[in-house]
Amino acid sequence: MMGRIQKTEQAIYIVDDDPAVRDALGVVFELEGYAVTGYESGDAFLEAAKTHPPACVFLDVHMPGRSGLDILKALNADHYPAPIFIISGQGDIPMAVTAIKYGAFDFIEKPFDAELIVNRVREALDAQARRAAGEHKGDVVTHDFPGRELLTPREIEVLGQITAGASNKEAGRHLGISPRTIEVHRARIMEKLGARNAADLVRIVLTGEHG
Amino acid sequence: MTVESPTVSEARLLSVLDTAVDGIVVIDDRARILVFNKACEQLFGLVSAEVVGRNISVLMPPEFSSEHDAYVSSYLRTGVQRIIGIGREVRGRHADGTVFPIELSVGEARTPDGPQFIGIIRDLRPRKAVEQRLNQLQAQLVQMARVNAMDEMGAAIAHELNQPLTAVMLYLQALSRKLRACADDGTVDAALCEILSKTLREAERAGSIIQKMRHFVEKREPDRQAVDVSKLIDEALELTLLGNDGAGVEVVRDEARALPPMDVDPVQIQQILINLIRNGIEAVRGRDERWIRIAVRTDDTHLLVEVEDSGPGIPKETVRNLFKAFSTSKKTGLGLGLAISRSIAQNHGGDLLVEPGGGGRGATFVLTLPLDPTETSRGG
Repeated sequence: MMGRIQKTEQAIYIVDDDPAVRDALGVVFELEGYAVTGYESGDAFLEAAKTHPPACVFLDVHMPGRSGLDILKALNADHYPAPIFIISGQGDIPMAVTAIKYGAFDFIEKPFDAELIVNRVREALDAQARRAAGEHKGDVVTHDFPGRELLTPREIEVLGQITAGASNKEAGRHLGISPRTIEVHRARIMEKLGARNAADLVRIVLTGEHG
Repeated sequence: MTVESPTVSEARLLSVLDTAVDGIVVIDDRARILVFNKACEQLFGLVSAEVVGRNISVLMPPEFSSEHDAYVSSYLRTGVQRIIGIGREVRGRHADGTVFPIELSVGEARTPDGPQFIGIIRDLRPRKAVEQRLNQLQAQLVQMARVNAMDEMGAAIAHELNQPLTAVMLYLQALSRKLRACADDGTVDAALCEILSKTLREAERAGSIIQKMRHFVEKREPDRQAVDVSKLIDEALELTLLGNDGAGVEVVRDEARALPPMDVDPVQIQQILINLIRNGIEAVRGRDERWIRIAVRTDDTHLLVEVEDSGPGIPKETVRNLFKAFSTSKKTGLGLGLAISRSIAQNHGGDLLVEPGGGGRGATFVLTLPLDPTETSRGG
């Protein structure tokens, strides 16, 4: 237990209009040694998020006022330094997928398992640290290819994993996101680059030829 | 032999009779037909020459015809009017035996030849057909509303219970992790952990029941097709005003020309529109000025439908929970309409917002729908 507590407390922002869910999620992460701040609305969160980026964000997709998607847009989530987890209900998968396109890091479904989300956050932060330390360099596609400018930084990372031959599961583990989210990225990348299948994708990236 | 030419007034009368849209028949005091106009010939499939001189009962189904002579003589004897000057819905019989509903009004003329009776006959079949169609529409609407309400209630209950349950499970899991750490170093009785994990299991069970229920009433994915929103509004108005609730409310339409066809689920969007229109009508009930305004326009990315009313606006304390399920300021209803409407809008990649008004201004609800739905809601 002791070893888990961070030396400098990492900040987690939780944005959910339901006070009980917000508090309960906060309790879980506080017990893990994170510094948690809850926000009832997107506006209050945005202000804080812009001036003091936390280590990680939980964002409810269904909220009165600004929806989770609006917030992702306002935050320019594609380039936001902290991973943003979308909290979604069971029926909201299409919405969650859209959120990934808007730059959310990953999504978790309600009701969730405390153990699971704590691990997800830890993996995400570890991956973030590896990224900062430059450990991904070897995998990241560095050279230019047609359509590169269309991809987000995260998509370029995922593409690096795919072209290195990683499965969705392996890529997910490496980047700290769920295999399903890798799938979303993969589909999005193929769509953007006009690739018909994985082999096509590899050829475009490695040879610069268009499918 | 010379045929007596009709006088001017006779000629005029004949022309009037044959021009009339309604059937006109004149009988004498023994119920014999004296006049049978063109419209009657059409209605009953009989030619004037065939029926003039015969008893009027040839135009009636048996249950009337057997009584009719008695009615006439009873009236002549007692002067008690059963139909004269009143008019009522009765049935006529066509020459081919078909019995059909007619509206019959009867007047009396005192003539030198004795009393005569003038019947004016209107075929009720077209009106009946319209009434029937309206009744059917209304029945469908009621049925749709009932099914929707069931679905909505199930979905809303599942959603609303899911929130506290999510919190309960998180609290229990946090507690359980903490406690287990303490049990490991012996500061806490391991039996407590056991009880806690049982509690957690039960909460999970409740969760899985809700999941099942949710699955059962799972919101349908929008069944999208190209739709003219103007037409949807026409229909929504027709359906809403059918219920007579809209009597005395002026409806103002304000639509941009050349609206693009929208790729939406017509039934679901219809449901939102009906909801907003009904709310608007309800808001203006009892106000001096009663109108709702429906405006449609587009901006760069969205189509916007605004429904404004001349009501008192929405009080601040109500606005907060306006879109929450089961919160309602109305005496009847579950408080689901706006919650469901918003979730439908969001499922379409749009939203439903409100400008509450107040201080002399009514509320305006704004439904936004993305012009390009692939931008926001198509799954990967």
